[in-house]
Order: sequence, then C-alpha cells, then structure tokens
Amino acid sequence: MKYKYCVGGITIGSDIHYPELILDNSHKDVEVVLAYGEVPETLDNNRADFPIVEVNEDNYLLKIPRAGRYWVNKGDRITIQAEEGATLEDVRKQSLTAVLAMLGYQRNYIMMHGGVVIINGRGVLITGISAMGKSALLAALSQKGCRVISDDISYIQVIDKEVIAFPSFPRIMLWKDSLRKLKLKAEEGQKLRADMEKYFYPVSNSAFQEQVRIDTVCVLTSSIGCGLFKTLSGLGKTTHLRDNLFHPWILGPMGKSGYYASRVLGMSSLVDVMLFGNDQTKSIEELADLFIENMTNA
Amino acid sequence: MLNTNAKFIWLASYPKSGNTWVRIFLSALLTGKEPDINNLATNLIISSRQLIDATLGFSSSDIPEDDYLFYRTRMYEVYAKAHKQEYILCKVHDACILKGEVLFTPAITRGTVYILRNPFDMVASTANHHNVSIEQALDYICSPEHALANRRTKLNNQVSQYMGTWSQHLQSWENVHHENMLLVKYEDLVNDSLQAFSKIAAYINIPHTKADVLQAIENAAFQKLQNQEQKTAIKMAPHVKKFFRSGKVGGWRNEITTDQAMRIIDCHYDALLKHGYIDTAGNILV
Repeated sequence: MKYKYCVGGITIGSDIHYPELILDNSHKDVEVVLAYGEVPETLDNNRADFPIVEVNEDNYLLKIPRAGRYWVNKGDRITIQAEEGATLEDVRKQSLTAVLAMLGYQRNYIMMHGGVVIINGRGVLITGISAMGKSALLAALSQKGCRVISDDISYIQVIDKEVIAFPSFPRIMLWKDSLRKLKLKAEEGQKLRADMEKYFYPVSNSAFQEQVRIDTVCVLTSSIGCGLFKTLSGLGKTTHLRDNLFHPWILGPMGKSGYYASRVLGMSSLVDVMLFGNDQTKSIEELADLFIENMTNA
Repeated sequence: MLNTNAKFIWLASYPKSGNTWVRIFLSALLTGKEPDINNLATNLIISSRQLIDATLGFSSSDIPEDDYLFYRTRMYEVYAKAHKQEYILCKVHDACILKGEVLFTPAITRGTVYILRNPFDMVASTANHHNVSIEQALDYICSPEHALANRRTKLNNQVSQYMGTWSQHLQSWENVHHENMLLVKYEDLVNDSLQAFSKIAAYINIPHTKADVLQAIENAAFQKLQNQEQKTAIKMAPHVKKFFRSGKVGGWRNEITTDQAMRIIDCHYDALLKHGYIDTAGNILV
C-alpha cells in the first residue's frame, strides 16, 4: 500500500491519497485497510431502521446519495464504492467523518462528538449537539495559539485511570459564515463536497501525533447564559457524556449500548464536566477569550 | 376524527401566528403548571436538526439537504416508532407539500391543529421578529420561495423549512389534511379564548374540565409570558428583543400602511376571503 496513516492512534494503510490525514512514519503494522472496492447494497442482518445507514454487530454500511457506499467491517477494513457519476474527490472526503468514527466504535474507542484542544497544557474536550458552535470555538482557540488535535470526532480511551485522547487529523470543519467570522480564507480550506459551503480547514499543528490526557469536558449549550460555565456532578456528568457520544443511535443496533454505558460511566468519574453557554449572542473571539480564561484559572 | 394508528399531531402554522402561544397553553394544560417558556412540555419541532440526525442515522450537515429531503417522511416514521407515548405533539412551520412531495402524509398524522392568523397583524410581528422593515416582511409572506433556516453557508440547529406564501402554506395543509384538521384562528384564541382553546384540547383528546382550560389560559397569559421574557431570554429566538409583543388583534392599523395592506390583499385575496378576513369588495374585516 502506498500510504500509511495514523488516525486516532489507529494505523490505516491505503492506496488512496488523503492529504488531510497524518502520515504514519512508525514501524507499526497496518491495522486497517482502506480501499476502493465492491460494497454490498444492503447488510445481512441489518438491525437499524435508518434510510441511509445499515448496522449490525460487525458492520456499518453508509449509503450517501450522489457520492457512494461506505462499508466498515470488523474494525479492520473500510471499503468505498463510488456511485456512478460521483466526483471521486467528494467520495473520498465523505469518508473522513462518520466512517472513521464507526471504525473507532468497532475498535472499542469511546467516540465523542466534538474536538480536543490543549489549553496551557490541559487537554479539554469540547462537545455538544450539532450547530452549537464547537468547531468555530476550536478554530478561534487555535487562532489564539491553542493546539487542536481533533474536531467533530474524538477518539478516547481510558488507560490506567486516565482519559486519553488520540489525535485524529489536523482539520476543522467550518461553514463559510464561520470562516468569515474568524477572518479565515475559504480558499485555504477544501470543501467537504463541491456543492456544499462546508470546508475542511487546516490547523497549523499538522504532524501532532501524541496522546493527550483529558481532564475536562466542556459541553456547549444554549441552556445557560452565553459565556457562562456550570460545573456538573453525579448523574448529570454521565448523562451529558452519553448524550454527546458520536451518533449514539448507532450503539443499539451495534449491540454496544450496555458496553458504552459502562465505559462512559467510568470516564465520567475521571473528568470534570461543565456546561459552557453559547446562544451566539457573543462574538466567537469573546467566547474563546472567556474559555481560555476559565480553563487557565480552573 | 383523529387517526389513532398514527402518533404525530402537527401544530402547524405560518411563523408568528400564535404557534408558541398554543404550545404554551398545551404545556400548561398537560402539566397543570405555569410553563417555563424555555422548557415547554411541547417544545418538539419537526425541523430540529437533532431529530433529523437521529432518524437519518447520520449527520445531516455532512450532506446536501436535497439529498435527504425525500427520506423525511420515512424518518418521521422512525421517530414515531422509537417513541412509546400515545401521541406526539410537534410544531411545524413547513408547508405540507415540498417540491410536489407530501412531507407530512396522512399515514403518519394523527391529527393537525392549524393555527391561522390574519396576515395584516402577522406581517408586523414578522418584521419585529426578523428585525426587518414591513416591506421586507411583506416580501417574505408574498414570496413562493419563502423559507426559514435556508442559508446554505452556515449550520443552523434546524433544517430549512420551505413555507411559500402565507396562502400557499395554508392551502398545502388544507389540501392534504382537510379530512382531519382543526383550523383555529388566532383571532378566536384572543377574542374567545375559552371556546377556542377548549376546541384544541377536545380535538387532541386531552382530558380536561372548563376550570382546567381557564387555568391553563391564565398560565399562558401574554402578561405572564412578557414577565418571563423580561427575566430570561427566549432560547428559540435569542436575538429578538421582544418575542411576546402585544398580541392584539387589529394592531396592524397602527403598524402598516394602506398600500401595504392592499399588497397583502392582492397576494392572498382568495384565502383572505375564504377565511373571513376580507369581504368581496376587499374591505378588511379584522
């Protein structure tokens, strides 16, 4: 295989060129093969009832209209079949989100929906539901010199009673309006799809591959005042972590609900969890400053 | 007659027609308490991105909206199946028909409460809500392309909702659900609250007494909502200075010009006439 990548601590071998991913220069063996090939139209024993996704214990099949089918199998193989007429660039880039996250689930990572940033040496996971401004906040923090090691999907493991994040790849997904607010140039990013205004925007620390200990999880929410923090305790911590797993609805059909309930419970006892208010009435710059200030003083 | 094989009861309306007020009333009736405007028992909206993602099985923001549009009816079925309650009250601003497809089919619909407000008052409220001029608000309600949350350069916590003009929206719901739809006029909610709100409770089949309805109406009174709004921002509209305005019927006479009222009549004559908002000579009756 021409390329060896490291994503979330997993070594992926492929003949497909992914400029977004970090090349793995170690001697580690390839753990996952990513290739174009034949992908079934449906899964045997599909346990999910979604229009474009099929799932069972060992398989995840994603059927993206006008792009292709993506099959993640037993945590060691990703196969992509482009739809006729689709642009290969679009097909390839669509594999950088949920497909890589499902690989993580199949390999028993705790996959969180959000990104990890290092602020004054502290690893902080920023999570929250879609459209809460996670990526924009990560980009603003990056502009202020903080190292961002993942966005949208974060690979987490609990190792020796520490919550560890593994870098995914040095891109932040930003919509055009966010790029404008952050004074970033759209042409420096790459569109996720040619017909969408959503971009993979590069962050500077492109070769970072170290594991990072997470001591704080921040959940972006509109339920408290903009820029305010609220520390959670007890069940509230676990509930917020569980709700912010990446695509939590997949876990039932994968037969892993109980497994991840227990993993999240374990994780919640090892990190601080707090809410961070964002109803978008403050500028992203102000929010980033408040965030850094709080994380530095906490 | 409710379709008891299905769960969704749509609380459908063009925006700024009293939908939130009805949901606050229902929340008060169902809980017996004064509702928290930011935490209603009836705060589900069908365009919620969270709902769409969980039923699509994938992040809707990662693919173009047109690519999952035609799965929406199936996605709502998935949602209903996954929820055990007898019925699901759900706010809807979309027109019932989009690009020739029925989004909210009778098969998944238990019932529909359509809240209709005269566009003369509504347009001033729309202008306030979007912080635009009356003329711009008029452009919205007279545009066959009018939609909410349809900006393609940012991620919204709701997917786009195509509405079309005020009268197209109304017709789309009437055409699909005329056999099982309660049409409630905002003006009746204001002028004859007990009867209008009782009709809604009876249609949805919420057990209630007259005293329950009166209490819920009191708990959902505009003054109380305005007091709450003074203390806490409304989450669904954090940028709007005043979400609960006067709520009065006929306030348009002080807010829009005769020319602007005429433009509304030109645009929506048939629907205005049908629902008694104008007479055949074009005189405004509200």
